[in-house]
Amino acid sequence: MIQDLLAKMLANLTACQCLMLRLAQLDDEGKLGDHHAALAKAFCTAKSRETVSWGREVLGGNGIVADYNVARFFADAEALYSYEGTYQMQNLIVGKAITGHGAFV
Amino acid sequence: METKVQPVINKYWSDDAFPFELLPSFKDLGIGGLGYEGYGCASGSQKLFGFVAMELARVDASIATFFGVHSGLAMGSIYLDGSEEQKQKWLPPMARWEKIGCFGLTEPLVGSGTSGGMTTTAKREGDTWTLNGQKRWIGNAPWCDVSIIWARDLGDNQVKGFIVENKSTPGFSVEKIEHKIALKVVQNGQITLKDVRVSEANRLQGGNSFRDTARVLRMTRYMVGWASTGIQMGAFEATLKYAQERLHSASRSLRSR
Repeated sequence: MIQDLLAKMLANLTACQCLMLRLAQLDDEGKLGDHHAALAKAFCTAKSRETVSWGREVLGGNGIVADYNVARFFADAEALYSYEGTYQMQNLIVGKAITGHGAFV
Repeated sequence: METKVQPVINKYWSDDAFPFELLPSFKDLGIGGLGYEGYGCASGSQKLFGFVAMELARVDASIATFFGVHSGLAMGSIYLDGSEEQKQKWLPPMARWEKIGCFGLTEPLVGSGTSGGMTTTAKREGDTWTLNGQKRWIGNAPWCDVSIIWARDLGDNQVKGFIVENKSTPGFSVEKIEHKIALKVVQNGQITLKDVRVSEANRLQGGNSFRDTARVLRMTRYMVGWASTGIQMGAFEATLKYAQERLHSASRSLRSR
């Protein structure tokens, strides 16, 4: 169902916009911690993988053709998920901040 | 981004090529050093920095990444960890995009774990440091002018940062990483450092441990959050447009029956 996929895409990106706007407020107040940035990086890149895959689904076969743009976003989201510290690394930073125990090896 | 990048980006992306033709227009955006005060930088709030990152990625994530690597990681390292003298020397030409930077932290055998297990080493003798090791996935590395290289000091075992003029420094070589399937416009390289000599004047004076590297990463991870939000906006807009066009053509063909 196309409208279901579109609605889920919009919900994901709106959630990320709200989170990032709150982070920007903290940053401009000088209160942004490593764990805040890690939480947002992990969350938004994970949601982004979901969002682009739903877009790919809507486009059917054309979702894997670069000319329609979605394929490019679909592939590129993979890189953001892992660069600048992987998803798991960000959650280790968040996990240390909320439990007080570092689980890095 | 919409008028200059969008019309050509899918071709560059498919060809694994960087759009050097767009660099003059990109410079005109005046976003070099966004969020940094002084030194010819664009200044502005973190909110503005975030919105710009989101808008770049809404059209193309590779261009957003190119901006993030140069202005965020490379300039940010100098802005946050450099001495006053280093900031005055390097930031103005980088803010004008005359010298493009890269950021060498990740290694072939140590990805995100470089805080604990960095294998690239730095050895000090007098006022000269000798760097040895390898860096991988370094965006802009195959063609940039200034490389920020992070290495473990053999003296105190702490991670330190070095500004390397890679084009004129012997022992510094880069191999382009081929056949990527993501961020294909960004040119990534594997850097090999073989007895690369760097003067103490080019060691980031405020970078004395990985905690100082992490300050740069905090800022750029914040930016990646915005960029991955922009990707979702771009994907959503393209998907909605496609769905509506399909809907219109389908209803037209139904009516014509």
